[in-house]
Amino acid sequence: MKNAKRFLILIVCGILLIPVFNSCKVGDEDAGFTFYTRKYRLCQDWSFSYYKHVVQHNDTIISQEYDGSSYIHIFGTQKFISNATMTISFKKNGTYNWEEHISNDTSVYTYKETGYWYFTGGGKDSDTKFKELLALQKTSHTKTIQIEGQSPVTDNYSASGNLETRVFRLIKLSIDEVKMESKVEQQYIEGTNTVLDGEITIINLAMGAQ
Amino acid sequence: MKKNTALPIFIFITVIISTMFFSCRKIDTMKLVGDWKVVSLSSSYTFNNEKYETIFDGTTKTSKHLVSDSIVEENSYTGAIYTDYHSDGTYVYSETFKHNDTGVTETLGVDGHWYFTGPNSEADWAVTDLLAMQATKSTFNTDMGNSHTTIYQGQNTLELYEITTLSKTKVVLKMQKAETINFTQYVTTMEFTLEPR
Repeated sequence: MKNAKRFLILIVCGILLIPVFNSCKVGDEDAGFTFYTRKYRLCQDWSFSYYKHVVQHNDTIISQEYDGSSYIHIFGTQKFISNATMTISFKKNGTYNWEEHISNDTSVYTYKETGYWYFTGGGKDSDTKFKELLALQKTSHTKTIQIEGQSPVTDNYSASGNLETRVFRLIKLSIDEVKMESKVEQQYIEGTNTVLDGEITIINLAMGAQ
Repeated sequence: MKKNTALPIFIFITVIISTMFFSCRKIDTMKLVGDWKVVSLSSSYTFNNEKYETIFDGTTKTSKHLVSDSIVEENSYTGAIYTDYHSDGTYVYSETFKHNDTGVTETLGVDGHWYFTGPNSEADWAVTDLLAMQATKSTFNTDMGNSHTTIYQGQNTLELYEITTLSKTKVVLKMQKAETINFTQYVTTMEFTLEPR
């Protein structure tokens, strides 16, 4: 009788824990179960293993791609290839640092961005679960371009408060790999023409800063 | 010695059930969901020596453009603003204003998704302190025949608002941001109060 009671309590506990275990799988490629929280998995030093950023305005497309060592900039039929490193660190206090260093024979480009990160998402109609979206709120950036024989050109941005925020869908968030993407399409009518603006960012992260 | 396991198990089950049913997010969702009317709004946008200012008292909206504290343009409108937050995570924003001098009526409608953001210790935000709004469709019309509709698909950017008051009878949202772009500072402030429609 006593054993049956214990067994019943264990079953009840198991049933109540099912939603907790299910919540592990949030993104499409997330593992079914993990002991690590989403915050613990995200908050590490990462290097970009793949990055793609495409900006489209009607038929004009500008694309940048990084494969872990080379940065490829495509504009129309022109293609420029440079050596690069790209890293991002997410801190447990809610901040992040994004760094890019791109160089070729004649120029060096450095980019440093800092900001706050948030998990968000959810809602029956939104097609996302809570913590499936990662919001990055940029609070500063410094871009420096140094072309051989010329003075460096710097672009500075700093901000505070309730700033507009980029959003990424976390497809995979594991302890050693992150896959996320942001796809935004904007369609409107200008005069008699329908205008299509699009921006796609695909980011794959691998463990450890370079 | 015989261990009594009933109490820890009872506490454990209670905690799990409490977490599932009474999380802050769920309570705050219940408070926010509803059809609201904006009863007051004030906003400003400043850079260099210029300032754009809007004040709305629930009926009359006054917009001013100031340069070095002198008014260079002022417009007055009569109308209303409504925001309907649905429990499925969507919202519908609508505003209609008639210009008091020209008689032209402008309407703006926005559909989108709303979310609470997670906590951020460095920025000092707890769960449900911030309301994120993500537009999926925006339509602007005037009775002069001008129409402009923008449809967004995918992960459109979020507009973040600080929730300073949240109850079933009153919501106060605030937005303050300052951006410095190559030594020029742009400051935006906005605060609006919602009451049930």
